[in-house]
Amino acid sequence: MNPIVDIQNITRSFGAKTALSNVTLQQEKGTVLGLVGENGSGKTTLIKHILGLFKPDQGTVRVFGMDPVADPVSVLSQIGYLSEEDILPTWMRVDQLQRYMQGFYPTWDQAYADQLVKEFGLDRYSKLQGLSKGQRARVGLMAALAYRPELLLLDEPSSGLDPIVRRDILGAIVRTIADEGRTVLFSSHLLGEVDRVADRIAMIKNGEIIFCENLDDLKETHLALTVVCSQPRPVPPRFKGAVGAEGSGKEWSVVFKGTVAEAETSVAEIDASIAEQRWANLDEIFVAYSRPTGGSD
Amino acid sequence: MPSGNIVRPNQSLIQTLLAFAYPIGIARRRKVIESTVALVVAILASYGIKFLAPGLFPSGSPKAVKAMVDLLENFPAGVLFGILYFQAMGLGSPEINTTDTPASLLTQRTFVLPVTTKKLVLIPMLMASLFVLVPAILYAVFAILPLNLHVPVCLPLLMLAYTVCSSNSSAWMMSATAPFGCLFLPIQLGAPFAVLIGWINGYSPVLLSIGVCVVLLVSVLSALAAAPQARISSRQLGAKRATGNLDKQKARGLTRVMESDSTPFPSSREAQYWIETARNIHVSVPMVIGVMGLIILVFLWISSSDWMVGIFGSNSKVQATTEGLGIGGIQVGPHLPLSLLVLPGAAMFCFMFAANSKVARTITLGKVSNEDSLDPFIAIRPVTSLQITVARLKSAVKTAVNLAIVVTALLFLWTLSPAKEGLHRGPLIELLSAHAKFRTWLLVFVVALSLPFVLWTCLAGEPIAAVTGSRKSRVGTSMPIVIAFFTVVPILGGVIIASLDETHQLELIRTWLMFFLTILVAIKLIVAVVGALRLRRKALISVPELRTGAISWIVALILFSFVYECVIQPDLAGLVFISLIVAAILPMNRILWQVLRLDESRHR
Amino acid sequence: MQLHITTSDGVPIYLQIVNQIKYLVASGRLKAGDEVPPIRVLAEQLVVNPNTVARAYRELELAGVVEKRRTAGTFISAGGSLLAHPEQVRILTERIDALLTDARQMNFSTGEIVDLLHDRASALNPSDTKKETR
Repeated sequence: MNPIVDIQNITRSFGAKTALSNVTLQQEKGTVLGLVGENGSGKTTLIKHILGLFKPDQGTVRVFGMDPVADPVSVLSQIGYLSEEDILPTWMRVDQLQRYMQGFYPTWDQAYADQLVKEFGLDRYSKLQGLSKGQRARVGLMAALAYRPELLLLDEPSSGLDPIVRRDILGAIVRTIADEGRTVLFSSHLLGEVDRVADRIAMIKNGEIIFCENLDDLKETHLALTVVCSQPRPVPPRFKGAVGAEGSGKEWSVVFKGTVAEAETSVAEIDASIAEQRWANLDEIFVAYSRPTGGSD
Repeated sequence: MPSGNIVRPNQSLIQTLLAFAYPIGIARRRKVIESTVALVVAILASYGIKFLAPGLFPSGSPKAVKAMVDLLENFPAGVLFGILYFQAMGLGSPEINTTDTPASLLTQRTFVLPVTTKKLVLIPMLMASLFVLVPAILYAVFAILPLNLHVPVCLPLLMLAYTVCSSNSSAWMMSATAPFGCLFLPIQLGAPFAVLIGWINGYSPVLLSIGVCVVLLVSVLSALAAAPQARISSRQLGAKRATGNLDKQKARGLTRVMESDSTPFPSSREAQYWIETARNIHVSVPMVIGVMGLIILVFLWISSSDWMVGIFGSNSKVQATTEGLGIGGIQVGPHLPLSLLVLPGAAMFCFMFAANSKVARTITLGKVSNEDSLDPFIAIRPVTSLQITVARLKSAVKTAVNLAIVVTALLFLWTLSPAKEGLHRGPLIELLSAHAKFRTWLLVFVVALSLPFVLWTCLAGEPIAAVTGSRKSRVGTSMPIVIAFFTVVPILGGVIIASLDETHQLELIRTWLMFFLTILVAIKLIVAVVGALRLRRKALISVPELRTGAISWIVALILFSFVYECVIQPDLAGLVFISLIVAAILPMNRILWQVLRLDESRHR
Repeated sequence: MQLHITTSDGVPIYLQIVNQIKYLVASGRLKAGDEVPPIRVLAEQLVVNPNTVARAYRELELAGVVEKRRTAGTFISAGGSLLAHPEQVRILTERIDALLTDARQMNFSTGEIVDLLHDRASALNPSDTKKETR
């Protein structure tokens, strides 16, 4: 089966700054891909390439097998998009927005839209301008879901929102997947959210994909070790498989990629022992990859 | 010195004061400074010429000189309006901050003064040269050569240059300034026309000034009404930023992971405008203009009463000039109605510019005025750039048609008003009620329609930018060339015409205009072809669409020419036809290039 | 059926579901023939990816804890309780390991721990299990 999103070796720079460098990313139908990365790492830029708002300098972007720049109508009619930015026409009322959106999307499902409005506790006749940020995010979500897009693109959807709205958004993602096997790609800095709803997780750093893996596999292959060295060490211990380390003196917590057996041999090589081991959680993995050298300066 | 028609210093002064009082407190202080410099230069130059004129040309002045002197006499005000217009449109300040609207300046009184010598000296000089030196050169030409030209011959040339220059720079304005600035500027666009045309044709400048004043007042009042809202919005904007930062900090503290990438959409930072309440621009624009027009009409009715005439004096020059301005079968004798046309046309501009607001942007699928920017909400919708452009165009057409209907109705009302002896309304009423009733009204409608529409369509400095194909060359680089083209060519034409004897002049003017327009057509056609090819190459338009477009354009042209053939005197039909091609090609080019630009900005 | 998903440790969510359902079966709170919620319902309830729930159910099915009946849904299989014994041992072993690790760090001897166990056992009713799932 062809992937829904197929990004091949794209590179994009803005002036001297390279925003994306040789990024390859694929997403199968019916999966949820979580895109994580530090601020300015290129998440939004990547998502905008999928929307066709940016053209890659090199490489190709295919969404549903089509080029979003060459054929924006076919691609965009199947994409639901919600971003942190408030782009809705705020002078409209909710019902006006619904009518307006209907004109763009032949697949608009008014019954579903009404159902969402009810579920989210929105007033159809209130102006968007007067709504709170959370309510407006719900309206945005309604507008992005009601035409049942094949691909839901969420760019930091829950940034700065309260937990209840966040839960609505997550619920929407879950339902989108459960309903019709549609596809979701979302970027978030809340790793807990990614952990819950993503099948796959891609980490982007300085415009490069660090890893793009099945979430369960990722967790199962990363261990959080507490390594006790025989001598105090001024710098974090480096050994085969270690991704990142934090600590000081003799005791270091290390995120290790590999099996327990591998960890034991690797640690033994640097004359240290494993005091404690468990699976690394997503936060630890993320931090380890963000600061691979480790240590607190 | 032909003393009868000249020197009404007090009236010039009134106008000057009127014009000068206006920008203070609205425009930026820098602009006021620049304007002042330009004003001084302009007035000095203008009056200098006037004082030099008698010495240069002592007695037995030909009519042309009289006319030019007459024209020049009116220039300080026109110059000033022009300067303000240019100033306000941000010619000297392309770095204008979009939130820095005149409305916010009105309320906050915070002026930023990044004045550079270049801007302070060069730009006013440019203004001054544009508005003073050009007529001065023309004047010199007419003064030195023994010729006999009517004002009406020179005036269209000047107006052409003026319109083209201002319409080109308005593209700059649109890209640079905020909607509120735009609200005032178009009125300035119309004001000099109104005053010039009205005054040259002997209408009391005081009355005209008051008329202009009313319109200005309306715009100022509406800006004031909108100001608090704009202020609130900007405050909200600030608050939003603050909370955004707070969230960032929270996120940092809690998860050690940062929030979103900081490359937002080209988000609309502008404040909210009062036009937001107006849901439908197609209705609201003509409606408001209709109201404005009615105000002017009532004012004119009052002004034509005996006691007003007693105060301001009647129009002695009416008889002399009514014959001149007519072209072919169009006898629009009384020029006040024409200025009435200009004023609402200009006022419409203000709404078009105010259409930068979110409402209008949504209705028209983007900024009406700025083809480069696309609302982020629209950018991700499944519509092609062509559809967006066509939708915008449709919206403009609707507005123009509605507006034309309103203006025609206003003019009709005007003709119904009781005619007073010695007043300027006589000829039009006679004309309309006597012969060629239908023709005249058709033409009035077409003029009313074409004015806003053509103004709208020639907004961007297309020709040069289009040929070079560079986005960056858009206004900045093309402007001087365009200005040069549209000033040098008329001057050259004027010199050639002037060098010939009287009997051949009219014929030559016609030929020359033909030549001028043909060049225009050629350029525009090249531009159109280049645009179409690019569209095709980018697969933004299908071959059938391209074919259908070309065919319908030609058919429309033939149809138009047929209509005009029936309406216009046969010997002028050729000229009108070519003008029509120009007029028709403008929107075509605009569509082609707008699609390309839009697409460029959409997929960056 | 109440499950508790946490993202603070590194245990994959599907595994958390598997373990907790196994635990519920092992502890007798889910009995043979009990229906487990459909994938979609559980996914929405827990706000987790339905694919994850599906994977958990697959694993459970493979382990023989649940069985799918066509059109009817997913049920705890009859063999579930029987097969649960090695699982019960495994769960307890894990916990004892954790307990022993803590005890060693606090310098408790094994004997002291056994004593403590007896104390707690008499203090608590044997039915209470909830706290331990954390």
